[in-house]
Amino acid sequence: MHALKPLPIEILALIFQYLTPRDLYRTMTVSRLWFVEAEASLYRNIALRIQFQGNDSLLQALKIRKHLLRRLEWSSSSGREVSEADLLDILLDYRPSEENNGSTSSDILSSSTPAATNYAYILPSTSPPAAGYPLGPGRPALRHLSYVGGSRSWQFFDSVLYKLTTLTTLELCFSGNAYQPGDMYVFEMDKVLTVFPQLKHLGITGKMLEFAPTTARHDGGYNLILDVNEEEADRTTRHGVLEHHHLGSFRFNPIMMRRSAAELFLCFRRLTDLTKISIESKIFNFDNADKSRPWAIGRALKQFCPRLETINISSPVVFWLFDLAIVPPDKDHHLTALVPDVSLGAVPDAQTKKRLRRRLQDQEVDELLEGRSASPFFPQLRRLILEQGHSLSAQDLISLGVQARFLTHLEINYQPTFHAHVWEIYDRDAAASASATATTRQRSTWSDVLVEDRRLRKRRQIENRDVMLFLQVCSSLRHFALTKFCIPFEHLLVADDDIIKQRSLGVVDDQGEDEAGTTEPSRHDDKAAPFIQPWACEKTLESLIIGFDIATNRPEDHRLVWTHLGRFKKLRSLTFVRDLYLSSNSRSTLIPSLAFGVEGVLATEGGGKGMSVTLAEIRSLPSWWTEESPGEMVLWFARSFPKLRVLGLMRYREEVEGGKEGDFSDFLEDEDVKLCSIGHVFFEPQYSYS
Amino acid sequence: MPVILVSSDNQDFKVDKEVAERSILIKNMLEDVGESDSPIPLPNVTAAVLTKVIEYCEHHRNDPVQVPEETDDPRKRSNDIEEWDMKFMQVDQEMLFEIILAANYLDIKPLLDVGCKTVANIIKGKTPEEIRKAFNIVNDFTPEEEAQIKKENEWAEDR
Repeated sequence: MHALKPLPIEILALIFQYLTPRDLYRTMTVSRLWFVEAEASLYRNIALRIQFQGNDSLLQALKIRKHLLRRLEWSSSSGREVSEADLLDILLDYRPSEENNGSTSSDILSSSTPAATNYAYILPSTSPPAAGYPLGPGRPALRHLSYVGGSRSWQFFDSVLYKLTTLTTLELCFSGNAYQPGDMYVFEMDKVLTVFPQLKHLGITGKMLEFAPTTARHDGGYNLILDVNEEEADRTTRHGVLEHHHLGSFRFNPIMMRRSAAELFLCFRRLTDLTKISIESKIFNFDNADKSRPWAIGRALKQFCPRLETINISSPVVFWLFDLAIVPPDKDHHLTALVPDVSLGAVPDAQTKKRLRRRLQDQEVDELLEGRSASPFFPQLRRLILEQGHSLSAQDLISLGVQARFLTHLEINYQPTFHAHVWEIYDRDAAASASATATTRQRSTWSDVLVEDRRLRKRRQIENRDVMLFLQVCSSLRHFALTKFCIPFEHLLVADDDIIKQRSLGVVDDQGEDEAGTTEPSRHDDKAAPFIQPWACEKTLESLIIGFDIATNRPEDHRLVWTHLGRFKKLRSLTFVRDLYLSSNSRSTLIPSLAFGVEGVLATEGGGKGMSVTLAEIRSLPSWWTEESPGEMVLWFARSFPKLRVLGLMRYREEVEGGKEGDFSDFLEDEDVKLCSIGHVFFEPQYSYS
Repeated sequence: MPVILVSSDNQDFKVDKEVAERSILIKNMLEDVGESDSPIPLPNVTAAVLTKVIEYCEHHRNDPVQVPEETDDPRKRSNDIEEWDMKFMQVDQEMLFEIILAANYLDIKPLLDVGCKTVANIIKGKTPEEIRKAFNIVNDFTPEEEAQIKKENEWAEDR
């Protein structure tokens, strides 16, 4: 009898989900009651790892307890982690008899030749029965299967995979190198959707991968012949039947988007419940960028997957978020009026070109800010995360700010790609249509070239001012991250290039006059002090990751930024990004020092308390400023932010001052610092958030 | 508008509706009955436990509603308990178990999670005998049964 009231088994299950396999192993022998759930918890989730010494013991135990298995993660190098026989036994409860083929257990790869030197395509030693492997009564109701490994055993793998019809999550990543035809895993999307009706999450990535409908075949070489034409692509609709699938999340390799239009989105037509897509690849080059058709992708996804709300891109892929209306060539007078005729023979200087281009860009920005000429592909978008290789354009970003009513989460974790072809793409279908009844423009002058690029809505890379515009208009954000960028202070103030340039050069006279003849106040004019434009998300933002680039000899600029941060009413987490390449000692990140106005973060409009009562976490706070002792600053933050519990400090760049790091870490041992309300004060790992 | 909750030992507790609705069970009850002053009986929760539960809900009344995580990753952390919650859970084990059971009954997921993490942290790193001692559990295995279980599952010792 237990002295305490025993917890019901469902509560034990909740507790045990926090335990490691080792802890579960020890829990199994505590008592008979605990054994039942500990054993179930231990064998519910199994990871087969490369070269794990205990794999044999695990496999033997798993054969007896396969009915408990719900989730299997298998990372493979050679397939030697588990034999065919073990795999059939565990996943299908099938044990081929010895007389069938003379062997009961063998490696998936040939056992006679080390895998490292055997590059020939290897057939499995046991051939599947003609009707496929039979299913035993003790097979597990597997819900989750993830496999990372080579594709050379795909034939055997498929004969097992398509029997696991209870899966709700399937993640396959085929890695390695293709040495001969057939080395690539051919993923049949239609078949997967048909065989796995309960699938909610699907991930299919890796470079050893091809997507094809079932009618595709090899040409004897490395190429797939696509037999599907438009008519065949519509065959499922010919009789009015479209088999919808309830897949909610799809992660895929960008090669899936490089197909002919006919069968490209055949599978997406079935995915009307899709809410999340992740485009992922570790190969960072833009193959065939000029052949990308991002407008077709966007339109198809808008039509077939209207519920899409999360998009993750960590791959080079040209991906648009908005449909920008191309201006017909006979209706671009408002554009030609902005740029003077410049004879093709007279090459304008770089400044002139830049100024003319900027005029057209500004005109387009005005249109976008009014919500004109841009139609969203993803009207339900809530979360957008962009990693290396992304192609987020200025037009898409500004339109997001204006039109994305549900956008709460935006992460821009890398600069957009510099691949030139990406920024030359335009909607060829719309352009052809717009030009059909109009005279084709002849590119006879430099201004014509500029106007044509603008007319065709060619995307341009985002700049700091575009980011600022976005933040000034997007009112729904709860989480915003801008890593790999540091926003110069001048860009927080205004969006005019000339004024930005003058301020950054330290010009003291009032020279903010722009081409329209208006003036900007001198930064030394007390009656018109610099002002950071409010961000539209000041009432909603809960988490912010951002970097600043500010002159170190202007404490008032730092104070202004701290005051700006103080406007956020709900901020819980604040992380500073450091520009590793900012080597000048005259510019720095935001300085957390009373001498640099840090107390401005506590000054709120209308007397409200602002983030002083909400902020719980600060990360990568610079720690090397010596106006006060670092320990005093930590205590100041503890007193000023009573809910602050995590304070991560950014280390100094050793190479600038030559190894001062150690001088600034001793304060962590001060009793006052150790006992302050923050609780967790530490130095960040080197180069985090940079 | 206050809500009256009645514990199993017939003690009344007047709490703000916003606080009471941290419990999904109570929230659904209130939606079902509409505008009503009727007390809500909680026959599975004693006054002592309900006091603690209300204290938790008061402290967390402004927390954002937890969004279920999209991933089905089974690896969960138990080392992220907030300081206040950690102190709140420093009670005797009987009360700890009662709070967990009450959180489960009342459907207050954050409190249930904190309670389960607290128990998990007590278990972590301990030998079977230490776990039995911590929870006052009698070993009802024979030595042979215990040895067999260990042998069959020894692969997990290294994970």
